[in-house]
Parts: sequence; structure tokens; C-alpha cells
Amino acid sequence: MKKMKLILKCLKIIALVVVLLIAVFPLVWMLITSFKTTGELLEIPVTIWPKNFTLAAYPEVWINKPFMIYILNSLKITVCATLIGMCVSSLAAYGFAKCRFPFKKPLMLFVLVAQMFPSSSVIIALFDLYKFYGLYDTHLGLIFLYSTISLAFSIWMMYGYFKGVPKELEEAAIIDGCGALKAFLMVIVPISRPGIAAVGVYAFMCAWNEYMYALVLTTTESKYVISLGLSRFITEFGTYWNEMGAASIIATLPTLLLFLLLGKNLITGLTAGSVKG
Amino acid sequence: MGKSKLARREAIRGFLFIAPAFIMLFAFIMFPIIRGFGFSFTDYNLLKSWDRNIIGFVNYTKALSDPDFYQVLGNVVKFAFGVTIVSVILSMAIALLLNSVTKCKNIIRSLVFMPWVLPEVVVGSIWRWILNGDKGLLNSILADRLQIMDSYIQWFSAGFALLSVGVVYVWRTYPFVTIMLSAGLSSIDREIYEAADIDGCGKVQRFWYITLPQLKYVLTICSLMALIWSMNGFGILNILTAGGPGLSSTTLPILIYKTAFQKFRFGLAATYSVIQFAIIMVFSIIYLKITKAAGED
Repeated sequence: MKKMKLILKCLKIIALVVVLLIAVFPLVWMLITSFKTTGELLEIPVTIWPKNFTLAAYPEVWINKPFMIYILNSLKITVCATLIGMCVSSLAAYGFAKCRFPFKKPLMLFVLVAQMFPSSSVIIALFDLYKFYGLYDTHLGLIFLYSTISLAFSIWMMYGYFKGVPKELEEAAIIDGCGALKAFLMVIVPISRPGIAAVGVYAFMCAWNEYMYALVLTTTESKYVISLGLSRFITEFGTYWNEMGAASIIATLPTLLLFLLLGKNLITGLTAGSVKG
Repeated sequence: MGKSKLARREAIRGFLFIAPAFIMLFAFIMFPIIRGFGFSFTDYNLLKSWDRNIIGFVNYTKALSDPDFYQVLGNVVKFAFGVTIVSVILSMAIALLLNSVTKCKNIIRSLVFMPWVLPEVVVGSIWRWILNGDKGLLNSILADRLQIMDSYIQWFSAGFALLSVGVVYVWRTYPFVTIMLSAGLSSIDREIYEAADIDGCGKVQRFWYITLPQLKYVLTICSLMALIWSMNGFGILNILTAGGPGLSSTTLPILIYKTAFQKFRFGLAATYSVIQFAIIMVFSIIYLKITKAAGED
């Protein structure tokens, strides 16, 4: 019986290692590839470890290829979109959580469905509208759009947090002479910091990772965001996989870092809704 | 102040709080969808945008009588249901495994969740490289190292493309479902299990009669989300195969993109996008009916 338990435990550890390998290895493989020389990439069978370890691919894509510009564009757009998205979604979530008004339930259900709307159904007329209003091929256009794509989900995540804040707290603030907005900013926001962090990570990821809208709505190369720049690179320099790897790692770093720092908040925020049921 | 006046002030305050969000949702998502609906009844072509005529249901009859369109719909069904079913089953197994782990819980959870965080384009480039027909890692391992296969397989050829893309989407989707199910698992009341143990319940019975029924809600919600996401999926698909070869891995979003921005037939593309929207709405409404979030006040 004891032996049986030991075998089971070993099997469990092996299974766990396999699971973690499947999750992590593809990205690690990209990292390993980025350390290889172009010549080594052509060898068959594929070498697992780089024979001549080199970092040359990184300065190549960072300086000689315009990846620095793409990253800066993406940072600018993503940070703006994240900040706008956080403000707008937390205001809306607060309104839903703390105020009574007519049509509240249908409006909330609309928000819930809005996160399912296919971007492929939005894109055709949006392209047309952007051309008309001069937002086509501008960063401003992308900032507006990227603030919006994460809104629906963020509102629901924040709503859960605000619901949990005891009503007495803001009532006390209002008695002290605060207006509703001030009570929200001074009392509710500080308490809900973990929720706001979760929404921030989510909004950042949505904006940083977005690809389809960027593909359709930008055309000038110097205005490309990182996802679009990377995808163009794949089709144009398809065989330079070491540089591809380096570019992919660079493109992943910001989201990955943010996720490692605040991912716990995001996971709690995402799962909160599902467990409540 | 009367009570009704107070209530009205609260309502106005509520509307003011939600106004910015709704203005944005309407301007950048809802309005384009409605306008796209209008486009679907025209012969709008981007190359002749000055000559736009209302042609009624011509685009719809054209789409619905086109055998290629049915091939695409078939792909969508195979792809979306395949990805969802495999992801959910796989996630169930992984979630059970994760919840039996006691050490390093948070790190393991974060690592498992990671594929869901990566940019779509990066996921595409990673797998395009691993599944590369000539220099890819998978072929090299299977054929050169393990010698399971005699020759390399072209993973993105017509016969394999949809399958390969599906596998990559599973890799992308299962982390989310796993984390959801894992949270669901840990919320099940321990006392139920204890009672079952006293009654002499086996492990399989325990899973079948307690765990699964308790997880029913989370399972359906996750399945619906995975289904909707894979039907809406565009980025990874476009990087991996761009729908090819031929139509072999084309799903509706790819078809819409190609019709609109490579063939410039906005009218027809808008028709496809209305059909896409209708399909998604069917599943969204099922989602709404089931979800308990909607049951709150």
C-alpha cells in the first residue's frame, strides 16, 4: 500500500512536469532559437542547444530593423489605452454597483454580451468610419479603439470588487461632505486596489496583444504597433528564425513582466466570477 | 427633498457614471456593427466606393448558394467544437492535477496560465517555427530523434492545416479553462467529499457523482466562452496559415478579412460578417440564459 502511494506520487510529479513543459517550452524554444546563428538554423536534425551561443540577433532587430519604433509606438498606445480603459470601466462599474437607475439590468447584460461581439463584424464599417473621420492610420484612432475592446470584461471584473465594498464606508464619506465622485475616488478606489490592478493588467494585455484592428487600420510602417510589425516580419524575413525569436521575445517581455508582477490579481479577478456561481 | 427626487438624482448620477463607457462601446463597436448590417445590402466595393447601390438580398443569396461558403462553415464547426471539446477535457485533467498539488501553488498556476497571456502574433510565430515542415522542431524530434515517422510531415499542407491550427488554439485556450475549473474545484464544499468517503465512495464515483455535477456551471460557461473565442479567432490563424492552402483552414473571420481587404468587396464581406454576428449571438444568448452573473440584481 505504501509502495503504491509512492508510485502514484511519482506519476503525479511526472504528469505535472509534462504539463508545465507543454505550457512553457514553446516560448523557451523561441528563446533558445534566438541564441543560434543563422547557419545553425539550417542544420538537420535540429540542434537542441545552440552550438555557438550568440546574442547577435537582438541588436540586429532592435537597431537595424525598426523594432524599437514598433515597441515605442505600442508602449505609447497601450499605456494611453490602459489608463483610459481603467478610468472609464471603473466609473461604469461603480455606477452599476452603487446606484439604482432604470434599465440597469438590460444595460449590464448588454455589457456582458458586448465582450463576445466578433471584431470581424466590427472591422468593415469601422474601417469606413475611420477613413471618413480621419482616424485611419493614426495612433489616436487605435488608442480609442484599444480603450474600448477591454471595457466590457473590465466593467464586470470591477463590478464584482465594488459590490464587495460595504455601503457604510461611502455613506460615511458622503456624510463628511464628499460628493459621489469624491467618495468614489477617496474611499472606494483605494480599497479596491487589487481589482483595479487586475483590470489594468487585463486592459494592458488586450491592447498590447491586439492584432486584427492594427492590421486593417494602419498602413504607414513607422506607425506600426509591435504585433503588426512582428507579423510583417514573419512574412518578409521568414527564414531568419533567430531574429524572429529575438523579436518575439522582445514583443512578449512587457506583457510577461506585468503578468509575473500582477498576474495573481488577474487570475483572482478572472476566476472570481466563475466561482461565485 | 421628496423620496422620488432623491431617486431621480441617484438615477442621474448612475447614468453619468456609466455614460463614458456606453458612449465608447456604442461608437466603436455597436455603431460599426449596425452600419455593417447596412453595407450587407449594397454592392459597396472599396475600389469603386463612389458607386454604391442598394441591391437587397443579392449578397445573401450569393453567399448561401456558394459551396465555398459551406466549406468555410464546415471548417468553423470542426475547428470551434474540436478546440472546445479537447480544451475542456484536457483542462479538467490538468485542473484535477493542479488542485492535488500543495507546494508552489501560485508559481505553477502562473506558469500554466502563461500561454493565454502571450500576444497572438507571438503564439503564431512560435508554432509556425515549431511546426515548420523542413526545419521545425516537431518533425525533427518525431523523425530524426525518436524515429517514429519515416519522413517529415508538412503540418500546414491541405490535409493537416486545420488540425495543426486547432492544436495551437487548444494550446492557447486550455490555460484559461484550466484556471477557471481549478478555481471551481477548490470552491466545492469539502464536507460533501467527506460524507462520500464515509459512505465508501471510490475515486471514480467521487469524480462522476460529486465533482462533475458541482462543476456543471463552470464547465458550461467555460465551454461557451472557448467556443465563442475560437469562432472569433483571427490572429493566430492568420499568422499560421492565413486560411490556406486553398480554403482548408479558412474560418469566417479569415473569409471576412480576405473578402473585404484583399478582394475589396465590402458588401459581400459585410454579409459574411452579419452571418458571423448572428452565429455568435446564438451562443451569446445561450450564455446569457445560463450565466448566474445575469441573475444578480
